[in-house]
Amino acid sequence: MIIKINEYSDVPIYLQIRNQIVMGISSGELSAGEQLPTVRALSAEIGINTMTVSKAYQILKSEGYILTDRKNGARVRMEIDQSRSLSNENKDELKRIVSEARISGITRNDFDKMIDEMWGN
Amino acid sequence: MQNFLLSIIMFICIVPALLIMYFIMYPREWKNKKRIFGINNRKEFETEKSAEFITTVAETHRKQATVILAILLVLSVLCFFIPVFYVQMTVWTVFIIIALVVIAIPYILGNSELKKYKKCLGIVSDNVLYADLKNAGNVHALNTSLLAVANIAGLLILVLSLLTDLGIVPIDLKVFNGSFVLTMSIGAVLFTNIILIPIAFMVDHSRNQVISNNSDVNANYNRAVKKLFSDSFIFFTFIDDIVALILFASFILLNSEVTMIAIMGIYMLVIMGEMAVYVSKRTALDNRYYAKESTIVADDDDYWILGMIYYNPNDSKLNVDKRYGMGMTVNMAHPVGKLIGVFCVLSLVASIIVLVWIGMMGATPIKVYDNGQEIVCHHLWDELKIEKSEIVSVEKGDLKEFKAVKTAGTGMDNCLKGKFTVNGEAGCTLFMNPQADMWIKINTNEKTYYISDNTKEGTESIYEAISE
Repeated sequence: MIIKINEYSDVPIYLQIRNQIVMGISSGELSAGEQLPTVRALSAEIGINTMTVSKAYQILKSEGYILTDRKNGARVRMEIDQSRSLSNENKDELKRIVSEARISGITRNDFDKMIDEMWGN
Repeated sequence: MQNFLLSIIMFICIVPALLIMYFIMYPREWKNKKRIFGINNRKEFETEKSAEFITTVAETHRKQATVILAILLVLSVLCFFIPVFYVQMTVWTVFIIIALVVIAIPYILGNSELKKYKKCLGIVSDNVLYADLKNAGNVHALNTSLLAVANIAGLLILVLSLLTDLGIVPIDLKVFNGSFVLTMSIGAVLFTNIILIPIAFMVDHSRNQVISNNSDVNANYNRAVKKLFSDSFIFFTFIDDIVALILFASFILLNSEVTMIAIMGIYMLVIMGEMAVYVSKRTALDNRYYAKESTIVADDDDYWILGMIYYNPNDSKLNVDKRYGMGMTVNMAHPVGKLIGVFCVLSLVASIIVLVWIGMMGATPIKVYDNGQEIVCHHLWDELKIEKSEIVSVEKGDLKEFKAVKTAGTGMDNCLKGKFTVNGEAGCTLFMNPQADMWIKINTNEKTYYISDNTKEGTESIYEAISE
């Protein structure tokens, strides 16, 4: 899986890493139980501070996407807790996206198609 | 003979290096290359108009480089004919530094033109960093056991030479017996191996390049690149071992400085040959992957000053893959990179100053004259004045039975200047041109001086003047 970090984005780098790993898990690019690189290896690979990667991993761990231990490093969780609900933050974000889509004249049908493409099979 | 051998070694050092630089920097076909003048080759360059422009730029600078290369080759041949050794050494060194800069000028111009052209095309850096999650920290190719074997072999040779110099191993050396020159010579050759060890590990742990969305392609490409490095490092280490062994054998069997210099010449030739092999393999690898597998082109062109100096304050990494050629370079925005940069510049300037200084010392004869009150010896910015009234005795002689061992100062073939022990007498002050083949010994109440003019006649006349 390829991670893309935009140095000049408004989104902090640790959040970009977190978001892309979540997207990788969702799309299946990162499978359950898959080993993630160590904090040191990933920070060296991107050329950023180790604290930034460490912060991303901590968030992923607290959200229940990955497991970390000293012996095995970080891994994608075998079974991720399926709460079948979105967080309030994500709901607000989705609401903003839907609103902007409506304002820009995207039809419900087109919007559904986009979601289908992103959702995958 | 000494001059000729020096020229041969310098020629072997510079000419293959210039040819390698020429063929890497100015390829005949740019379309299937990863980069052109240090600018990443990209899809936008494939349109008819862009391709035509870039072909013109590439051809123009290739022609300029060809002319420069031809001039440099002629100049390198002319360097063979410089008569004085120290002058020749200085000229060769300065010429090598200038040649390495001059051959890169068309490349720098091409880099500047293509950067401007990119802006004209509206290509702006997206400042995106890529990392392959599956390969991060996982791609290695260094054969550590073979590297260890090569280094242990070198260490054994060094230990054997040390034991020989100490007299513990009963081997008779034809030259420099008991003077530790053998250990120092072999140590100097094997020192390269010590330097190569951290570099080999650093390269093996360097950042992987992301050239494709397919992790397997990235892994294969990076493994192949690192394997090339690893093989070269191990080859260099074994070559150093072999050279050390040959040096050892030549100390035992031969009594000839010429052989030593010839060995070093062949050594340089082998290293240049291996570099040429590396470059050709690396070029083939890049052509194969970039032509067929590459889907991602990271736009970091703006971070490469003149297309060869990496300066990226947002990159915490110190070492990065070089933009062209072999090996790695440092990020000049990194604090350690800045220190290394300053050190390199200072070393370069210092080495030129030292060489010019040595050249001037060797080329300028000592002048001795009588100003009525004093005998004055003048050499460059140094002056020795001996009050005539203080002279107690004076004698002259030739250099047949003259043995001077330097305590402090300059001891060159054509200049002896400073404090020396002469024929067992310590603390003598020398201001002599040995080529005059004559000396004047002056004793005062406090000191002993040995002086000579640059000719025998001049020295004789000074002697007459002092005697009167």
